[in-house]
Amino acid sequence: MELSGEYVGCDGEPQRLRVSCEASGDADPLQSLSAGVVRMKELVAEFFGTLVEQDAQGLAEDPDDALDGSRTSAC
Amino acid sequence: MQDPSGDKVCRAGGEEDGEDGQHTSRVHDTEADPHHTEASSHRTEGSSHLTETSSRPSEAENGHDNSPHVNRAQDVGTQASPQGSLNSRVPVEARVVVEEAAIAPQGEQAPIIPGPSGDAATTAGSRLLEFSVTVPFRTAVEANIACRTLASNIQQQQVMVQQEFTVNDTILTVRWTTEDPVLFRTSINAFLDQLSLVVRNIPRPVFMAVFKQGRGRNN
Repeated sequence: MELSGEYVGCDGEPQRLRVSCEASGDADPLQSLSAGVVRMKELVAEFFGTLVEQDAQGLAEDPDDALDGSRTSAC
Repeated sequence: MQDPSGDKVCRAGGEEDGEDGQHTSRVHDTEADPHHTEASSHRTEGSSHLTETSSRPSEAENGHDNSPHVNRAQDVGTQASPQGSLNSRVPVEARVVVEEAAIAPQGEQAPIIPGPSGDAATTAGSRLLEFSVTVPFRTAVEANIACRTLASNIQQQQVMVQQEFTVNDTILTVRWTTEDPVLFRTSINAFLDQLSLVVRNIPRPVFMAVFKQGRGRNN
């Protein structure tokens, strides 16, 4: 079992986040999935945290041209 | 009509001057001048005043021959003045037309402005961002239960972000679409929190099954 996430920006390039949910021994598969969800949440927070920071930097670099800045950061 | 006015002029000339010879010659000249003045008066009333006033100085200054030439020159001048005014008016009208023509392009330029903004809107539409999460369950029943629970809860919370829930056998796929990365983070975090709760609640049906089997053995 694998819990996966995929992000596609305006450039069309996919970026994947993967978390393995293999049950070891007698462990319950749903417990493994639950742990995987927690791990995925951490990865998502880290991934979008970086993305939001890039967006903010883009706006700060061009305060007069916010629209262009958002486009650049989104790409 | 002309004779009475001529007689009056002769009398005035005779009274002013003493010499008889000069009286006779001047009388003839003055008889000729009124004809010219009357002719000019018939043509244009305004110019008649000018010719009358100008004829008197010419008689005093120069001889008999110069007076008609002066009158003709003045007539030409007076005729030219209306043409001059017309000529001056035409350029003014032309300028007005030019100004109107100049204004028209400016007016036409205004409708062009929405064009780029429309293109900008189209460009903004192409900046949509997508994020999807694929969750594997043990059975299709579990996948459907999770889908219904998550869809009903999250749809009430999130309106700004478009969400799509799909179940294919034992696999649940959720897709988000938005332009703002910040909304992505908020929406996906909420989903993962709900997913964690749903997964923890699924084992209860398995526990009930074991309990029933236990009762059968006791009987």
